[in-house]
Amino acid sequence: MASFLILAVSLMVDLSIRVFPQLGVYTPDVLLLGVIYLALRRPMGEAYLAAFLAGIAFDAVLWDHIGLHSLLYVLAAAGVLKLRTWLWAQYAISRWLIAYIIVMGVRFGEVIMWLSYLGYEVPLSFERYVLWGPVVSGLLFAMVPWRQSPIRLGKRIPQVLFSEK
Amino acid sequence: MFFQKETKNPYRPKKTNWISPRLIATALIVASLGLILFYAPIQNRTATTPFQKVVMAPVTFLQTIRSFGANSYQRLAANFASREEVERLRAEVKDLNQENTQLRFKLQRHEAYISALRLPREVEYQTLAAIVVFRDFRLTHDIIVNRGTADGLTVNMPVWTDEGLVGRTRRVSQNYSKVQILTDPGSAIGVYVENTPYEGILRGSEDGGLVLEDLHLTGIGDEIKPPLPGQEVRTSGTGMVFPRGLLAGRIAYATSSQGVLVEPVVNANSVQSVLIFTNTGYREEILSLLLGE
Repeated sequence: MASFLILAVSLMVDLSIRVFPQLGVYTPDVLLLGVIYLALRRPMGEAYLAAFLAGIAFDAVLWDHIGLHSLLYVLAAAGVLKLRTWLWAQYAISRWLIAYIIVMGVRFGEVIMWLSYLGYEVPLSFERYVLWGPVVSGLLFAMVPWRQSPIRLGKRIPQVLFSEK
Repeated sequence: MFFQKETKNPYRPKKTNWISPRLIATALIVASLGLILFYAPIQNRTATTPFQKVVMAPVTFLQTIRSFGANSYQRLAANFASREEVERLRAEVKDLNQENTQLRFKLQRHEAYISALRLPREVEYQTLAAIVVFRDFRLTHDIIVNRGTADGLTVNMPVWTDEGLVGRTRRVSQNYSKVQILTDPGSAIGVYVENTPYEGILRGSEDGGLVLEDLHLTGIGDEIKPPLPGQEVRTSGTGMVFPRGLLAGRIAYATSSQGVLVEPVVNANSVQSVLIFTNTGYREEILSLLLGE
């Protein structure tokens, strides 16, 4: 339940932040950051399911191709689950790196799909969108409060599918 | 790997069923691919049977990447190899510019005849009202409206409000359409500056503004005077998408090295409803004028 609450709040913030601050390519992908957070903190099965549902909701609201972001977000969750065995997410720099890599990968996937559907109508800010835009998302994720004790996440989180509650 | 060994992880419960995280992830990925194929635009489908669709999906994906890379390489190679071609094209463009100037002169004379003879030339524009349901200014500058093919919309239909031009329909589905607004970095429309002999191309910029580029004179013997701030910029209709005369912006007071800056007349952040041209009578009008009928 907490996971879906986090996703709902992330989606609302994501949709709001796309319009009002006018940050363009530097707009942080808050919903994706929520998925990354859940993939780091919640059991695997729950993280995958949350990522899939978040993607479906995103596509439905933004009127994108249904299934595109669910695919990218599930792959992102898998990427986070891989990264969290290498990086210690309790450090801000690690969180920045995790978020940067994942957001960059998802944006690259978005661009590939856009290229497929838009007939090579490539926007001018393509490079900035993929390479430099995720920096802001990473900084935002680095500011998320986290447990400070240096415990490796891969061994701290129970490797179960869903929360027992 | 996504799992840890059972002996090293005291939290891992005993395996009681066959479901694993990897299986869940695989199932969700397959479900996502199925949704993409199911909802993909019909015109982009090349396969007909379900088996072909499943097989063609990754192939199409790889072909897209491959063709994008190949096109980039070819463009790069062409830039180095075709200098003579560029020179030839420049000369050709010069000739075409002269011819273009003559044709514009004839067009002005033709319009003058129409005005003098008071021939009917008004076209009844049919418009459809639509409500803006969302805006996305992250990579592209788009708004989404609640009208689609079910309402008779197609791609490249002009979208405007009482204040002025908004953009054109970029993608259309059954009930919704994505509208590319003028400030989109990929937008470029032909315009002229009101009460001046200048025409040019109005492009969107990444910072959400408009830049008037490729300014040139349209008549012979016109007084050469740069456009002044506040003058209106209107669509020229040469692109066959927008009718001539729609207000697109006003010359801004600020200047830029890229070109003349233009202030949009419609604020895409606050526009709530728009009108969409649903007939193409203006295209026939332009064609008849150009053909001299």
